[in-house]
Amino acid sequence: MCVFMSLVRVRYRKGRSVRFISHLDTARALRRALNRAGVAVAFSQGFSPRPKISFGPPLAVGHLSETEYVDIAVAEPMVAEQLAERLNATLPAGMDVMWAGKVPAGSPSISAAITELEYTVALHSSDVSGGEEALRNLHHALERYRAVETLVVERERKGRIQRFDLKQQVPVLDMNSGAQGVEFVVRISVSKGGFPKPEEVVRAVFGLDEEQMKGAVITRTDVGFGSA
Amino acid sequence: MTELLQVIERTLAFVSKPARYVGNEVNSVHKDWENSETRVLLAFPDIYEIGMSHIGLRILYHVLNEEPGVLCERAFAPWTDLERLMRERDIPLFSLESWRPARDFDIVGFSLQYEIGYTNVVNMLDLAGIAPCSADRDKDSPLIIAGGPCAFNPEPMSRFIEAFIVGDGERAVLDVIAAYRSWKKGGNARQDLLLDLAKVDGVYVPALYEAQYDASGRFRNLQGLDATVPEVITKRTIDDLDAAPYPTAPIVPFVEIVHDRLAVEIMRGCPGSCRFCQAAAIYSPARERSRETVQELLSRGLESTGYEEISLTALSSTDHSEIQNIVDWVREHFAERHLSISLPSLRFDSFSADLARNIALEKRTGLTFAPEAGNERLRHAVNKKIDDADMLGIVESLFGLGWTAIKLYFMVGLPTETREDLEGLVGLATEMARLGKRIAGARARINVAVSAFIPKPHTPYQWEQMASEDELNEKYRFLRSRLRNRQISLSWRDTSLARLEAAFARGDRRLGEVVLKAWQMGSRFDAWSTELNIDIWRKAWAESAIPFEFCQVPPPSPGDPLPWQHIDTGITTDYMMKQREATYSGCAFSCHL
Repeated sequence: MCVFMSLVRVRYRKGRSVRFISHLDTARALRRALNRAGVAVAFSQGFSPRPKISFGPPLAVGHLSETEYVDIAVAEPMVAEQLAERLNATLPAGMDVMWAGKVPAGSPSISAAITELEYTVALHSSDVSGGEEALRNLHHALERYRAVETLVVERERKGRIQRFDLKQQVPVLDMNSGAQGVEFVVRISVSKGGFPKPEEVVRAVFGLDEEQMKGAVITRTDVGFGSA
Repeated sequence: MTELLQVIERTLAFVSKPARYVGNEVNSVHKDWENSETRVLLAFPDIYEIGMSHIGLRILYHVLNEEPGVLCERAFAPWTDLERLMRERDIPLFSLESWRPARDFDIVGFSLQYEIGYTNVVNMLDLAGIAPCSADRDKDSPLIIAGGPCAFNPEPMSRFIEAFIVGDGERAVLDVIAAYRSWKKGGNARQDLLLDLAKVDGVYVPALYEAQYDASGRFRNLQGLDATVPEVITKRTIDDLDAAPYPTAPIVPFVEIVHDRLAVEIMRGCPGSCRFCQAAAIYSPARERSRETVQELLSRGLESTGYEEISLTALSSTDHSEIQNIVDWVREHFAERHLSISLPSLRFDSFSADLARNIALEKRTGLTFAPEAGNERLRHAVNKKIDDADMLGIVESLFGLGWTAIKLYFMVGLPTETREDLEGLVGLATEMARLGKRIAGARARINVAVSAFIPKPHTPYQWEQMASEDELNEKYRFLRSRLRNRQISLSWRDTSLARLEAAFARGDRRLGEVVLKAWQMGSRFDAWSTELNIDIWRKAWAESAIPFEFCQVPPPSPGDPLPWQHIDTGITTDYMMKQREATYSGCAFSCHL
């Protein structure tokens, strides 16, 4: 048995062709890509050993990402760049490793380290009917939001209601518009007690309906690491 | 992106499990559309998770895409949520690889695995914008073909399918492509294509035959309408599995499919000759893939897929003469990979504790066996020769090795079955549960899955009367009342569904009307208990020109013409009759093939 082990943090992107692949399915796809690449992954001990791979906050089905993180415990001597190269040769089309680096011993886990998630929510102009006036209304909505002290959204799941105050949990909310349509920028604070989804933020602030939101292309563009 | 692609992508945001429909899996094949002479769509009339678990589909996908000039893509039945949106938004049935309309392909081939999926075939044709009935199709419509176990009684689907491939498909499908290509070059009429296809070995073209019935409405004869069509269609058989094509880089689905592992077919056919079993007949003779080929397919398959689990598949994998050596090799060769091994459909009589030690290296959850009948008398009558003592011995050692759950398949309503036989079932399951509790403690489980015996074509029981719904439900109630052990759980397949399956299994071509009407009335996914509406079928049957009550077609008597008699499996009627007689005379041992 190889006792060598190092923890490699990998940042990858998830493109349009794999946007409908769920978090769990993505995790399985990555594991199999590691197998195809012949990377020796360390396994946990015990009755049913599992590969030591841990992911950052799950990405919702339908969302794209430029910046997904995963920590992989590698059981063979290898520099991080090698792992990136080998994975890129075997990952499904649409998933690409952008960066890899060793995690120093004692660092917090990836899920604990990530404290903020930033998204763009892009709506095609055909989904924002009403032209100039609709656009003005969106700007007004943003101004109104900036002026209020609190804006609480509710989410009902299995009979339980969860409430999020966007003014507390959304450090950045912005919008840009152009000929193609509108793009909202939403930065959300990750919290153990739960946090709003980018769709919930945009719907609550701008009053868009579900059909419009389903047409949106939502991309995780950045994550913030806490100072801990 | 084209407009259709955008509409599809947008629509997928509204459905459950959209990953079923996006393709792009590792090892999926994307050939160039424009430079492909013949474009084939493999259509599976159930959801992705089921269709992708099917080895036949994977073999044909491999064979077709390996063929120069042929492009092959896949389509599965869209779940009801997507179907609704497709109809609302005018999205046609599309292929996974290129999201192209099914109608743009030259040939659409359906896999017919079970009778209960028939309305899904009609529905997929309709979603594709292809007329469901062959007679209504125009000259630009793709050629609609089908294969799989249900091709062995093709009659109920004969009005929807233009050509059936009977038997092993891996070579036959290329012969069909060749016939299609030369017809297309000639620019002849559709009728000529059908006549050409009828000349291909193992291909049945139903439109070239007419069925005749007697005054009481019973099937009499199938008459060829052209002098050139064969009277009997003999199934295709691959002689040498080692020389047969098999995928070395199978598709790795993103979504978790039913059998989410590297499946290597180690054997086709079954050396047993259980008298109720249709699979043994249609996949006969039993053929092994050599240990060397299996090892090669495992090595290459694991390398190209990265799977963490393998399955050595066969109708009865433990009957492979080198199963122990293969399992030992896997264990040694992939020691670092943390692989699990699964063996589907185990037979108690060829299973050993040694084998048990080496399978499921990582997880020991459940194993499945099929005693089929509750006691030795009935098992011997149906020619499934396995003793209670052997079964109990194996179960005892499995619990000792760390397994906690054993699943048992039983059939009720088998010919000659009595209350005593059902009591035998109760006794056997209870004894196993007792062993489990003693060895593995309270978490030991015996899962008893019971289904109704269905008489199937090409078996010695093709002339049997099936038990009525009342009889079956009574038997189930009896089992339920007697299997009251904490370690035992009992599952039961819907009786009305079994009766429906039986009617279609032995049905003639008039049942096509019932399929069409049931589909028009909304029947879809009948194999799914959440979707099945048996009243639709009752109504569709009543409104069709079927001279019998719902699912009450009388069984044929020996000597009667059979709706499937033009399909030849190589097993003679004489042999089947003798096997049937042996059930009743009790000479189970001397009548082995």
